[in-house]
This record gives sequence, C-alpha cells and structure tokens, in this order.
Amino acid sequence: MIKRSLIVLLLIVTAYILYPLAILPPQDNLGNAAAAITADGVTDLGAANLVTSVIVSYRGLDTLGEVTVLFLATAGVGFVLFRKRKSDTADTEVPRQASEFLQTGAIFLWPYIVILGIFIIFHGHISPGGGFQGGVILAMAFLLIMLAFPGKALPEGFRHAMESLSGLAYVGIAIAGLAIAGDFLNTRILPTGQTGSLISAGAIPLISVAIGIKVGAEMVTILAHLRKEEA
Amino acid sequence: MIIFLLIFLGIIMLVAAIFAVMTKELIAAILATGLIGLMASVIFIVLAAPDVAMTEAAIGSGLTMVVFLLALRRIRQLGGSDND
Amino acid sequence: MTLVSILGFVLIAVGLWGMLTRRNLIKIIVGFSIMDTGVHLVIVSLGFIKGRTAPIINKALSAGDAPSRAVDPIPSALVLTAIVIGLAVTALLLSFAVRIYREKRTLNIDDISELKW
Repeated sequence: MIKRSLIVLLLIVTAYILYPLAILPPQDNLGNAAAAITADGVTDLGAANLVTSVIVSYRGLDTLGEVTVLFLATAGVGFVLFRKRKSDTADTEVPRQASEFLQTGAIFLWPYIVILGIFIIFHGHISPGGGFQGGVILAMAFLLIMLAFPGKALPEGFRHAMESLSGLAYVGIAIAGLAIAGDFLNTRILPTGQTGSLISAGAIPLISVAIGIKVGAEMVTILAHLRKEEA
Repeated sequence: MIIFLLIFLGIIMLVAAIFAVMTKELIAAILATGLIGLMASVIFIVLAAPDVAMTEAAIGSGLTMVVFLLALRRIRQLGGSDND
Repeated sequence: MTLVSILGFVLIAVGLWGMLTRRNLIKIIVGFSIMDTGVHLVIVSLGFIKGRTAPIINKALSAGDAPSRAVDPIPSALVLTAIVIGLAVTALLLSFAVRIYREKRTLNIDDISELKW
C-alpha cells in the first residue's frame, strides 16, 4: 500500500531531522539573551517574576501578536459555525436543565474561582501567574455557570465590549510607552517601585490585567460559540 | 528520586497517547488527551517552570477536554453518533 | 533534561502517526493535540538546567544570584503563550469539523472526496 509506506517514510525522515535535538548535551550555563535578562531584568523592570517580564516587556510585541492570533481564531470559530436560518430542530429545542448538584456547586464555587483568577492576574509580576493563566481561570468560572444554567451565559455585547476595550487598553499602554519613555511597549512609564510588592514593576500589572480580560473574553466566546448559547 | 517520578509520568503519558490514537471510542480518546495534559503539567513543575504548569493544568486538562466534548455534543445533536 | 525531551519527541511521533493514519476528523484533532503537548515538553526541556530553580526573585533567590541559579525564562514564556494559542487553534479545527459534518453528514475523511487527487 503506497499510502502506508509514504507515512512510514515521513516518520523516519522526521525522526532523522529531530534526532540531533534529542541528543543535545545538557547545558551548564544560560545562553546570552537569557543571561542578560536574568542579570538585568529585575533592576530594569522591577518585576520579580522574570517569565512575566519576558512575556510582557522583552517579548511584548510577540505577545501582542499572539493576542491578535487568538482574536483571529475566535473570529474564525464564530465565522465557521455561523448559520443564518434556524431550520435544524436540534438548535430550537429547549435546553435541558442541569442537575441540582451542579447548580448548587456552581453557585458555591463561582465566587472563589473568580477571586482566584483575579488574584493570579494581579500577582503575575511577583509570583507564578499573569494574564494568560488568570484569564483562563476566569473563563473556567464562566464555563461553570454556562454548564449549570443553560442560557445564562455572559451577554454577547458585554463580551465583545470587554474584548475590544482590553485590546485597546493594551495598545494604548504600548503607545503611551512610545510617547513617554521612547519605546513601543516600554513598561517604565510608571515608577518601578519596590520589587516584590504589589504596586511595582511599572506598567506590567496593567498590561497583565488587559491580557487577562482579553484572554478570558476570547475563551468564553469560543465556548459559547461551540455550545451555541446565543451567538 | 525525581527520575523515578519522571519515568512513571512518562510511561502514563505514553500509554495514554497510544490509547488515545488507537481506541475506537471518541470519548475515551478525549479523556486520554486530558490525562496527557495533566501529567505534562506535573512534568513542567519538575522542570522549574511553574507558570507553564499553571497554564497547562488549566488548559491542557480542563478547557481542551471541554472544547472537544462540546464539539462532539454538537456533532451528535446534528444527527446520529458514529465511531471511527 | 534529556529524558523529557525524548518523551516529547515520542509524543510528537505518536501524534503525527495518529494524524496521518486515522480516518475520523475528531481523532485527527486528538493527534494534533498530543503533538502540541510533545512540542511544549521539548521546548521547556531545552531551557532547563539541572539543579537550578524557577526564575522568580524572592527570599530564596536574590537578584544577584539569578544568573547562576535560575533556569532560562525565555522558553517558559514562549510555551506559555503557545499553549493558549494551541487551545484556540484546536477550537478552530473542531469548528471546521462541526461545519464539515453539517454539510456532508460524515466525519470520515475518505468520504470527503472533493479535493481528492
């Protein structure tokens, strides 16, 4: 069978290409870029979590691009699943009620999950966390509500407003960095403050909040499109 | 000591991956994918990347599975179930 | 760590094999998801250095010690965003599958023959 032998050939070629990477000797020292970031990152930006400073500041333009890709993927999901006429019977039937356990548990757990998400977003520059993680946890909280109470998702207009406003805030902070500090996405437009305290690291917490709201809104939109709540 | 943990998690991930590819049951394949994400998040903790571990625990084992199951539910609603 | 990168490569191979040999669209997307996890494992393991700790400055790791005692933060940052993007791409693939099922009433790629060569 020619197809099967082609597949085997492709796997062998892939293994051959990737093999040098697998036997790479373990390194003892950081590369040049990583050494510079770990040596100067804290004094430059004031953020205790170097991963967050890489995401938000050193590679901030990449993150802006990734958020754009996320937006495009969400728009693609909405576009592909869009249907003008409501002829299918499956969509018009009344949604089944969730069980009492799920409803009670959702009401009980929802505030705590939201608080956890907000905590992780706001502490992204001093402990593990940040906009992406916290935004996903916020989306999980709203997913719980969507599962427990069908038809009670976040209103579509509110989601789109949050998404657009947070995206605008991100770009606005980036342009403020260009105007005040001289670089696009420069986070030193605010004082860096005491490293390790909550109010520190310049504009990094603000950008984290923008990323968190944007990621949460995009994820809830994807889930609502796939679940066909109202969109 | 930590090497045994890595070997244990690796064996679970490999078995889950091969099971997810081989099985005829779509739901079982989706659950095995979630198991792979959960084990990967533990491995990220061992590799000193707690940020990645948080994201992977929330997305790899939670949201990915939910997205798959919601899509599968919509396909089943459109008409009939079919395996493989 | 070499063990984890080998595990990642094996996961990539299993996912690729699943994507190429399965006939069901959902199973192909499951293979893509497995491959995604494998790629993340490989990238993070490339930045790990044995005996070092996470690049977060606190009481246990002072700022002066960071270059000699912290792991590489760049692969962590790249993988962090790649995971979120991977979920969005998986959702997009699944919505294509739903759309194909709506139009063709099948998930078997052998029955979708318009682009067959």
